[in-house]
Amino acid sequence: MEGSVRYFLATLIVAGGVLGFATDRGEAFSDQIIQQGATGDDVVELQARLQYIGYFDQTIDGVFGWGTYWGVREYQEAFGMEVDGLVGSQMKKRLEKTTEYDEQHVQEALENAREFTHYGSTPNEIQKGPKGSGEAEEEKQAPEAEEAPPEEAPTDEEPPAPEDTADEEAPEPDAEEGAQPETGDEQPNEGQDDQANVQKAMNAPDGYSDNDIQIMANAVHGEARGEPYEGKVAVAAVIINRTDDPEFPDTANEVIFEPRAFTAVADGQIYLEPEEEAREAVLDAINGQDPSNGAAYYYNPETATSEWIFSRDVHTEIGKHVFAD
Amino acid sequence: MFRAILIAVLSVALIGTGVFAYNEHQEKEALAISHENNYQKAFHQLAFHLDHMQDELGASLATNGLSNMTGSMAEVWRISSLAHSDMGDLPMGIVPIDKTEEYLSNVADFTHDVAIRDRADEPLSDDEYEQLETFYEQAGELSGDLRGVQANVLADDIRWADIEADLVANTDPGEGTAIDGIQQIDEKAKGFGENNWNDDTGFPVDVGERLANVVEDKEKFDEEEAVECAREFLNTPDEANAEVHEQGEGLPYEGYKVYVEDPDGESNYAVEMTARGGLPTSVMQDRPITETNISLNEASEIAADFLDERGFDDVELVDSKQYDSIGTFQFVPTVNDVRLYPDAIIMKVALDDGDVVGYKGTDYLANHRERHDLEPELELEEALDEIHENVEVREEHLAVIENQTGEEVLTYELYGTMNDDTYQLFINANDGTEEDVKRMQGAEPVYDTL
Repeated sequence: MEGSVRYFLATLIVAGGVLGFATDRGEAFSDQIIQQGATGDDVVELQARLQYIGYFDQTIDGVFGWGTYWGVREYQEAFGMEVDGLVGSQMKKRLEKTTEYDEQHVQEALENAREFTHYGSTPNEIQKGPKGSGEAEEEKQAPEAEEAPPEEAPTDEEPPAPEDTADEEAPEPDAEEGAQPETGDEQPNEGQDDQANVQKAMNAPDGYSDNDIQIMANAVHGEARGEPYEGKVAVAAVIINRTDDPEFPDTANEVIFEPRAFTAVADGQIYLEPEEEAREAVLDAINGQDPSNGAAYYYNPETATSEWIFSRDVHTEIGKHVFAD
Repeated sequence: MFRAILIAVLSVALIGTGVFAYNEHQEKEALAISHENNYQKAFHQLAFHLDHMQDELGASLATNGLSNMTGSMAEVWRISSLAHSDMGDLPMGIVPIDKTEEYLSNVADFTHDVAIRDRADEPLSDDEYEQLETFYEQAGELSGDLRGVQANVLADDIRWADIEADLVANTDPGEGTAIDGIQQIDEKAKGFGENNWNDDTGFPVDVGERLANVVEDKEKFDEEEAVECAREFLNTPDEANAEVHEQGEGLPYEGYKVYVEDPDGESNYAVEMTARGGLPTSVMQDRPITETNISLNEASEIAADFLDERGFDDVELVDSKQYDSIGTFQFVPTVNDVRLYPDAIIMKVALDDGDVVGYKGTDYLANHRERHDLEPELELEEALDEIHENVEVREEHLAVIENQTGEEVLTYELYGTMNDDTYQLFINANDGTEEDVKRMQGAEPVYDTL
């Protein structure tokens, strides 16, 4: 059923293309300038459109990472725009004009965690893996779509577009618009749906996986529930400070699970579900915030049992905790 | 009759309870044993690794060939790291045994440095050889003592779990116990710290210390002035409520923490600053941010303007990431197009209303100064020759970074790709050494855990 609808749509599109209609379907970009590090639907669309003409051959995941960045730069270079890796109105217009974006195919695949691709020359049916995270290897793309993006497309030549796309869709490098530098004065569109679909990817700070962050968030939640946000960041910072300290283990996991290092680990509170705030605190600490000011220890003076802890030099006090070195 | 039934029912209940209790007891025993086994394993491994480390140190003293030396150095480095990790598996979180761990760290740092450097160019100096001998002797003492403790543990069937329980109850485990033995060892390791091969154990000087040096001659602000400074930095009106606290004595410099009310009625800003010079080192505001109304690009402009208005030198955006409705940015100052990474500033902007909700400037304040010698001796082409042929370089900058030994070096910062991965390479701009190579982390898939 769904398949036949899609065939019908595809037929319409091809017909539209052949008849020279502007095939501007689905949601077009919002007005933002898209830059590296961004996430959301605009990025999904950007990746899908770049993939359509072979400038992006990695997974469409809605995160503007390095692969997307190089694709954007290659595209800018090929069409004589300013090569800055920023996707502004000029580039978006050109992409909308010269590529297709089958939003339904892409979003549905993302929702269902299918493996999929979005090459212009291949019917969508073939570009879709099974539901789930696509363990079965399927043929997902036609061979000619596997061409790597052009190494260096001289600006007076067309990039190698897949052969069987309709002529109207082949980009015209010497179009009327010259390379105008971005003015950067666009107003954002309030309407961008940024509710990430559950199957997309997300950014993670360098050197940490999302699961590492989760474990740290668990520890922070167990140790600093009910403390002010600043106190949570400080606890996360102590964990990171310990990894840099020769007197402690070298990884966050070892520091956290060091027997008797943290009460929340000893009494099992680390296994409670952390709130979003704990995760945010961990991200802040990883990104360099340190309200503990370099402390390697903290304690609650009300409940601390070890005499020895009171002999440490105090750095700062936040909420119920005293941070010391 | 009724009584007979009652007795029967109660008997069944009693037997049932007995069976249940016995099963529970069995399970608890099994868990306790497996818990104890983990501790025992870590402890015996520690003793074994220290022993083994001493053997290898001895072997390295006797080797003469460069290649053998590298082998045994690498081995010592590996074993010392393992021993360090074993210590982390013992219930020592409440016993200060940091000196032994520090000693192991020092051995690891030293052997790592020796193992990876080109000793044909830089042979082991006399001082270093002596240092190796010292490490060897110290390892001998530690491992001998630990063997003693180990023998006690084995002979008296000492349980780590019991020691742990004693420690948690905060009673002194007393003399002759394993903990006491290990604390004795730690006392000994204290003495090792004083004749170390370098004082900072290969570990860059604490940024707080550096900041203390920068601000020591500046005038001291009192609390009133600190509040004013904070308000000015945040650009909040003068009537915004504020409270100010002095930071603890443990900080290398005197500092204030100022909480300032947000005029928008959102939660307070926390501003930390140095008392001398009133330099804001960090700003944090915590509030729920759920909507995304502005783009990452706009937020980065806001962050750049914020820094510009507050007199930070020409800064350039080097990294930006969106986490749902928060944008985080890293800026570095540039001089003649040279990026100064040690002076990086972190900014955080809320994507709902474009307010700055985080700033961290400690590195900038501690490290930013005029640098001389920002002229590369190598041409870019020469630096590119140092790159592996399979890496396609796509972007180049000049950058000052702090290398692995903690020195500042001028480098070519190159971004290149190889098989779908992006790498950041730093090539020393004066001698072509590869100072650092990092694989840039891609996006993290959201694992479907349903």
